[in-house]
Amino acid sequence: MNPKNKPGGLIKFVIDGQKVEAGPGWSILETARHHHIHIPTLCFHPAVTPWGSCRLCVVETRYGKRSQVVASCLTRPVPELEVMTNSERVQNVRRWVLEMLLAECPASREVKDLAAQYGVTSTRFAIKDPNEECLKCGRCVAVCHEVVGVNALTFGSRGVTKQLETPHRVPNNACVGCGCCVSVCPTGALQARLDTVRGDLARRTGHGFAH
Amino acid sequence: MSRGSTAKISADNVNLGVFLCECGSRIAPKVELADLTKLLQKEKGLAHVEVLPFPCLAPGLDRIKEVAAGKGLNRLIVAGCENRITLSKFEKALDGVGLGEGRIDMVNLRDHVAQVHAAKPAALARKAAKLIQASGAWLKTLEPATRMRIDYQGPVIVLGGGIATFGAAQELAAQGVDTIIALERSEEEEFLQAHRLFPGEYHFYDRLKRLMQEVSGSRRVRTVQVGELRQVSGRFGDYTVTFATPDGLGTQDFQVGAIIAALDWEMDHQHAEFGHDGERIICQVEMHDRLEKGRPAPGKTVFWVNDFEAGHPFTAHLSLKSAWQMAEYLRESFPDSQALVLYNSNIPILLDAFDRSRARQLNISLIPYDGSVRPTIKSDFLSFNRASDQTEQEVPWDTLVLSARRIPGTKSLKTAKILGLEVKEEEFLERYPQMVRPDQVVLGEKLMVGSACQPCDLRNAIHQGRQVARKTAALVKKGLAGELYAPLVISTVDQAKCSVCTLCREICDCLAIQPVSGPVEGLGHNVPRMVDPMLCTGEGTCAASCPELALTLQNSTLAQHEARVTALAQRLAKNEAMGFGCQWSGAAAADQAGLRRLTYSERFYLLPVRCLGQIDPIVMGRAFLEGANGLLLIGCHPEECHHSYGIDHTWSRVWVMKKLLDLCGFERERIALAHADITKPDQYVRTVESFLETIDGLGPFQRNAHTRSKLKSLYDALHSYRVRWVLGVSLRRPWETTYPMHMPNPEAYDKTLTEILTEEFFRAQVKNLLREHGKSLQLADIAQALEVDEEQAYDYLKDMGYEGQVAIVYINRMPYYDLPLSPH
Repeated sequence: MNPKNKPGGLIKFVIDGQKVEAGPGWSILETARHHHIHIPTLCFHPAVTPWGSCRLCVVETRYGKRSQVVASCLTRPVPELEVMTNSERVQNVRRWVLEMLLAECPASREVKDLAAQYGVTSTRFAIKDPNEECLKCGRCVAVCHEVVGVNALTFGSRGVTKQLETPHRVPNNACVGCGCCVSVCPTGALQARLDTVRGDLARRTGHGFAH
Repeated sequence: MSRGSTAKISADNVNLGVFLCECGSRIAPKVELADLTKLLQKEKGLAHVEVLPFPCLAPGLDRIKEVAAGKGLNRLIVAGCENRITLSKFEKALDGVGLGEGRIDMVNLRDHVAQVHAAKPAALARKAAKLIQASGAWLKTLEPATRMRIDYQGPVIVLGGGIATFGAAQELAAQGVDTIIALERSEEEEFLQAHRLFPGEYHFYDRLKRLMQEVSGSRRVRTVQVGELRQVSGRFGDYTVTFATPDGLGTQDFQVGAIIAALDWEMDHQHAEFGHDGERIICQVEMHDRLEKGRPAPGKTVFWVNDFEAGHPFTAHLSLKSAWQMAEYLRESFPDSQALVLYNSNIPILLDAFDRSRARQLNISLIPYDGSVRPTIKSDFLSFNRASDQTEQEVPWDTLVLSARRIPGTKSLKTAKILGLEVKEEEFLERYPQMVRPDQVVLGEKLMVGSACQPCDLRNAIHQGRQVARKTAALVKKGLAGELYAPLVISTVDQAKCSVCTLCREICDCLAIQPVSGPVEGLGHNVPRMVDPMLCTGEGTCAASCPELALTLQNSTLAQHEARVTALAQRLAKNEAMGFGCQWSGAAAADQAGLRRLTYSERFYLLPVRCLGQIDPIVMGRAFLEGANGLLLIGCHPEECHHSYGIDHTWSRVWVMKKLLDLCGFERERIALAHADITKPDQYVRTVESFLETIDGLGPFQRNAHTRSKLKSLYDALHSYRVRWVLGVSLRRPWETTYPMHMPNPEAYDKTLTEILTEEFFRAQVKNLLREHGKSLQLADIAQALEVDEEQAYDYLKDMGYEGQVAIVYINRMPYYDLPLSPH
């Protein structure tokens, strides 16, 4: 930690030329939002631990002579840091991300709208499934684990084949059918998919036998 | 009945703060938050109102903490988004500043107001203010209950005598949890029983033997010999389990903290229709015996896995496995024999490549047949339709081995019944309980395991035992460390009010309402008066049905519900309507409508509840009394209720409310029940729009002294023991076809209900009339005032006189009716 920064004190830094102060433990994203500075995100949700999967909240940070592009939801500020939320470098990264997202979930209205704001209307990556809405941001998996306290949802496979699944790919009893995953889904992909998670009716409600 | 006091608000030292969320740009420009702040500041009893960009993020939480500590807030409303997702974050973060669980309420401004209405920001601010004020009334009436710690005492008992016992005991011992295993047989007999119930598992018997030795040698495990299970009472952490002594003469009690029931199925011979004779045509159990004794019949042995034909397809894969293992054993031990396994091609075959090559080595044919043509047994051949080429084939046999019939077993069913599970004869005990929170203890997968619950092989039975033991051990450790707390919203019984009608026990499907241990003076044994906090789902249908109002849902009481509807109903404009939405469906669908940016009329006000079942009819009556013109209840589909038939009870209550509205002379359509699903927000929007249309067509209530007194009588009638009792016991699910007592059909049932309601409504009216007039009235006056036929009125008044609800005074031989001199 920087010696200028007293423990527990406020961290003074700059976002887009605006002087801001952050309390202990605030991330750059949280501080920016508190000061009404907009940073786009898809995977960040206040109820769950951020894990930076969508990479849309990237910002450029400059400290002394060094500058880098980081995910603002995961990065804590240091005193005298200079943050640019909309520099050319940042925009460039976001356009790349959006192009990848367009290939990943071409059916999502939210992603398309956001891409259009950055002037991205087509993608050069291969589209696997033109009807896909899920961007694998992991909000549903996180909310199921952290808020509801069960593990009815998980990611299966890795890399390009990663997809949202129930453990062992069967509808499971762990699911309490609360629909929290549907509520946090940024694109609404789970609205159509909930029934594959919550399993058959008899299992959910306990009034039947599932032979 | 202390009706006045339930509605009274104890406003002392309530310090309420409101934080309004801007949610980026999702609430702020659409709802005029400056106006909203002003509107709220006009309210009395609000300590603080503030707008924050994001109260849910670290900067917002720090600010709330600062204000809460500075102003001593002890109640908090965050007007932002859905409470299902973010409430727990607030509760965790603000626990340290006196705003623990239950003291925080959330109003979903984003999805119920800002995102879904097209009205002007100032108008939406007024709507938001009403919703926040309703929530404020809820919090002001809250009497926070202290968190109840579950005291855990005693060991875990594993009863039922299933093979899963040993798996469970091994795991519990390994985790360092003291365990009692209650067996009705000696261990040798248990071992033999395992042979009988799981025939053909030759490779596993030795392991079972070792497992049993390990368990009996463990310091943590105590094995006791008991007779049959007699009674279980108490709650999680403190159960009393009573068994008969092994000789069946006396009883023996055990004080335990948790119960695991390991129940096994029973094996029965195949039906006579398959020609089972015990000689040439035998079951796998008999074949197993023969192999054990080393005396299999010579010649060709055909194993026919006939589970599909015998009507229990769910055990087919197990029978097939047994058949294969027996065939293998037979060929290995008796090289002269011949073996063949014939199975339905629909059975998933679990043999791997090694098994298949082994089958070739041992010359065992595995033949799948097409199940659409039933194989037929002839005296020397068995005919079947070969699956590969659809040709009728036949195999010769000397001994035919059929699958055994697996039945759940009367003993297992009896044990399950004593544990409180409603069982159906002849059906397996598999049950997927209603889980609404992860650490809930439920009968079913957490407490009841073994082959009587889920058909399984020996290895799986033991594995099931281990699994349940792992879950139990985690709870036990939490309990022993003093970290196991009851959830905040659970039912509690006021034993002074309870008259032991046992209605709650019938209603409760989570089996939480338990008898108190030992006899209650004057009432006898088995008095259901205690709520097991680890089983209770906190839904409150029981509380909303209790005829004596003896049950209370902690932190979500009737008084709170009444205060909330009052606060909202009084503020509603003439063309507005209100409603309740269940958090699993109605309110969730409303949230989803906001997220999907659907638009509907802003004239509908939704109050979220945990389950519609906790909406007491009194609350519905109160809404109309206080100014609501229409009430819409939006819940789950009947088959999807997360709780104990909550939606079905609401269904009954809504129909009763319709009848009462009719009796008052109002339109029945003013109350409606609707079903919603979180995945169908558009349907929710249509429901709301159509209800508003209905209410618009009816116009507002003509509110005057006359209608007001009628609504007051309606409200009072809902407090009467008789109405509540009838409403509780007569739960009708829409598809039920049998009716209680002498009522042969739905019409007769409905007539009886109408008669009771008419009479109780009349009684409430008479009492109100007498109270208003403050003097005695004659029959003719009463009948005229209430617009009832004099003869009918006389009958009702006579009964009221008998019951002491009115006093009859004779002046000049003319009867005058008056309120009885009340002892209160």
